[in-house]
Amino acid sequence: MNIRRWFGILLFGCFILPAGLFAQDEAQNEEFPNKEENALCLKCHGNQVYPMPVDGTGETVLLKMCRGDRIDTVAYYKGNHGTFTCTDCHSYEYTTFPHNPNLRLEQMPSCLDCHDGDPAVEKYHFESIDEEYRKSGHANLDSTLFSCWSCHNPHSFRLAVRTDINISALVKYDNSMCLNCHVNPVNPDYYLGGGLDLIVAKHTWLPKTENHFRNVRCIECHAKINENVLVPHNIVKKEDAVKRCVECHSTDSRLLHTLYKYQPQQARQTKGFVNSVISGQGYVVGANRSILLNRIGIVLVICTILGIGIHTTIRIILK
Amino acid sequence: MTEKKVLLYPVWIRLWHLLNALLILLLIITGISMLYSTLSATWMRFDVAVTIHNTSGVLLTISYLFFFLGNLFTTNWRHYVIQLPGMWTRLWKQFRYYAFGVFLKEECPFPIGSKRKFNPLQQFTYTGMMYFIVPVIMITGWAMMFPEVIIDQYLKIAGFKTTDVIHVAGAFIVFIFLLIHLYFATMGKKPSTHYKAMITGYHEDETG
Ligand code: HEC
Ligand code: HEC
Ligand code: HEC
Ligand code: HEC
Ligand code: HEC
Ligand code: HEC
Ligand code: HEC
Ligand code: HEM
Repeated sequence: MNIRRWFGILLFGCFILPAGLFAQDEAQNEEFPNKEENALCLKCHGNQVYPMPVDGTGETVLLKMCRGDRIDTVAYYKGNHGTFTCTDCHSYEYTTFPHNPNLRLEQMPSCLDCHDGDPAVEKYHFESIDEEYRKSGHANLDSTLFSCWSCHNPHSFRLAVRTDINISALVKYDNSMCLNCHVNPVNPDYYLGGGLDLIVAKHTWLPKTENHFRNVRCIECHAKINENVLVPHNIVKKEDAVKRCVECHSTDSRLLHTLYKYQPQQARQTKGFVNSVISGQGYVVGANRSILLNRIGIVLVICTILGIGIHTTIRIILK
Repeated sequence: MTEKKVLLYPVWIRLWHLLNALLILLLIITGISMLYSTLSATWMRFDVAVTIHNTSGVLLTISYLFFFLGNLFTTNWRHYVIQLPGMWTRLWKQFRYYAFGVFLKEECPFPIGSKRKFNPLQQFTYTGMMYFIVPVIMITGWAMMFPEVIIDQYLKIAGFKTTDVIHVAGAFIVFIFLLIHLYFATMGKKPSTHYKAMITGYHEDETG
């Protein structure tokens, strides 16, 4: 355990940390015209502490920024909305500090407010997604607690399915959205208790649970497939979640309609066959098969049986 | 030709062989059901098949170790050592006998006794099966039970796929071996002779 921990720290120190620094450099080198303006907010919201002016003295003291109000600056500029200024979504009044308490009553825009009927993002089918989302169990929760933003973090989300990211990274990213609430004690409102172990414990009927969670997304089983959209958003009641193995482990695997949906379409256009991604990145027993191997196998078995039949016949005749 | 009884299959071999045969049958049936699984035709539930297959696989490994140690600590292993010089000639002789000789009521070229338990073809296939194909299937099977050990990707092909293809290819070979094995076990004096021998341990004639 100890060795593992040290190894982890070493690994972190040697690779991940510098990688993070480089990534930061990269993000900072890119031109973001909104940067200057955002810095006005991020000097407080991007830090662990902020300067609080002390009444009348003209001096400031450093106070702690609540974790929930902190924003990851690097992730912000990598996100889909990285070109935004804070005040595109938030009231301009936030430029004054202390913030006016009434601002809390401000209604935040939803995805549809901006993207409804937007031809530039037609391929995403926002309207269908919204419809699907409204059918999901989560939508019954209080809308101040749960909205599209609950999964799509407004300050960092970056959609991954349509990028050339590999499947295991995609699965990790998408699952982190769910796990952020379902096993994260930092979100006590939604916390269902325990760590990843708990969510694994809720799925003991699934062998090699953690391996499955590394290779399929939660939504593969928990969301109802809708051919209109690439990512199904209708999280059904837990009783209706997929439990039958053959839904994935068979030739008509539902994964072809969800997880592998985008890539096979791409592959079909370029390579002309469906199995290409799956054979490159994942392998689902029963769903991917080496068709050639299975045919050769069957043919050889039949030949053997025929051979035995012929031999037996001659043996009987010449007896 | 003299009628005499020789003990060819001591108790441990018979026990091992019985267990081995049962487990392999289970593995083949459940394996095929997973290999050709579909959404609709569910004559065996996938998770049931997986459980039976994995359990039988683990038991087969134990049974294999038993076979391996049994051979190591008795003299039975000698029957599995192939004498390379003249191997092909002997294999051909035996093959010719099975293809024509039997029908022409020829004498069998390599009569069975306690010195030579297997004819050349048997020796070749048994050794190949027990010391090459079956171990390969067991190793790839264990690897798929602990997929962490498999390299993710090699030459753009998933490591899991390569492992599975080797496993399935090996399984088909065992299946075909089994069919031939069952048939050639009927080539004794009477079709039941060898089967009886595998049950009682004693071999009753010196042909085939
Ligand atoms: C001097 C530091 C400082 C600056 C500059 C600042 N904020 Fe804040 N902000 C805070 C602190 C402290 C809080 C938490 C206490 C509160 O709500 O007043 C907060 C809270 C918020 C909240 C959450 C209110 C809620 O509902 O809880 C939002 C939204 C916000 N700020 C947006 C902005 C935006 C947008 C800017 C830039 C235009 C900005 N802030 C600039 C310090 C700052
Ligand atoms: C695309 C729109 C959008 C942009 C751009 C944006 N925010 Fe937000 N922000 C939101 C939404 C929506 C919420 C409410 C989140 C929720 O309901 O979970 C929010 C919440 C907040 C909060 C409250 C803490 C929280 O997470 O609930 C703070 C603080 C905040 N934003 C600061 C900023 C700052 C600083 C920037 C600029 C760097 C910024 N926001 C840019 C949409 C945006
Ligand atoms: C305040 C208006 C606004 C809101 C709210 C908003 N967006 Fe956007 N979004 C935009 C604009 C404008 C762009 C184009 C930005 C650019 O090209 O840099 C965009 C870009 C995107 C893109 C990238 C499109 C592409 O093909 O490059 C995605 C994906 C996206 N938004 C998803 C969402 C989602 C999901 C939500 C809700 C969780 C949401 N947006 C909420 C205004 C908004
Ligand atoms: C329970 C979590 C969750 C909620 C709530 C949610 N989404 Fe998503 N959404 C996801 C996941 C997971 C993805 C896949 C992200 C990826 O990897 O690209 C996604 C992807 C998307 C995409 C991209 C689909 C594509 O074709 O590439 C859009 C657009 C989108 N969501 C819009 C919305 C809108 C609009 C709402 C609210 C009505 C919403 N989402 C609510 C989890 C959620
Ligand atoms: C913002 C936090 C949050 C996020 C993100 C989130 N959930 Fe939930 N989820 C909840 C809450 C809260 C409940 C209701 C818990 C309860 O009723 O006890 C819930 C309930 C559920 C249930 C049980 C539904 C039922 O009706 O039986 C499932 C299944 C579920 N979530 C799956 C997911 C999946 C899959 C994702 C990711 C795509 C996800 N959740 C993302 C907070 C969240
Ligand atoms: C292979 C399909 C599958 C996958 C993958 C899967 N689940 Fe589930 N999940 C189910 C089923 C089926 C149930 C209902 C279990 C039952 O009835 O005992 C369930 C139950 C749940 C529940 C409700 C637990 C309870 O008893 O209240 C939550 C929350 C949940 N899953 C979250 C997740 C999250 C988060 C992920 C991704 C890390 C995930 N699931 C991945 C099939 C799946
Ligand atoms: C949501 C789709 C899905 C469902 C449902 C599902 N699986 Fe899987 N399963 C996968 C994928 C994808 C892999 C490939 C994992 C890999 O590449 O390592 C896999 C791999 C496996 C493996 C082999 C890998 C290993 O870890 O040994 C077994 C065995 C397995 N699943 C059994 C089951 C059983 C039993 C069930 C039903 C209780 C089931 N699966 C349900 C998607 C699924
Ligand atoms: C239902 C299945 C089976 C039956 C009825 C059966 C029958 C027999 C019989 C009658 C013999 C002795 C005669 C002969 O050698 O031909 C034998 C020997 C043998 N069989 Fe099988 N067999 C079965 C399955 C298998 C399987 C699956 C394997 C291996 C994968 C196997 C491996 C062997 C070996 C290695 C021997 C020689 C054992 C020794 O004496 O060391 N058998 N079997």
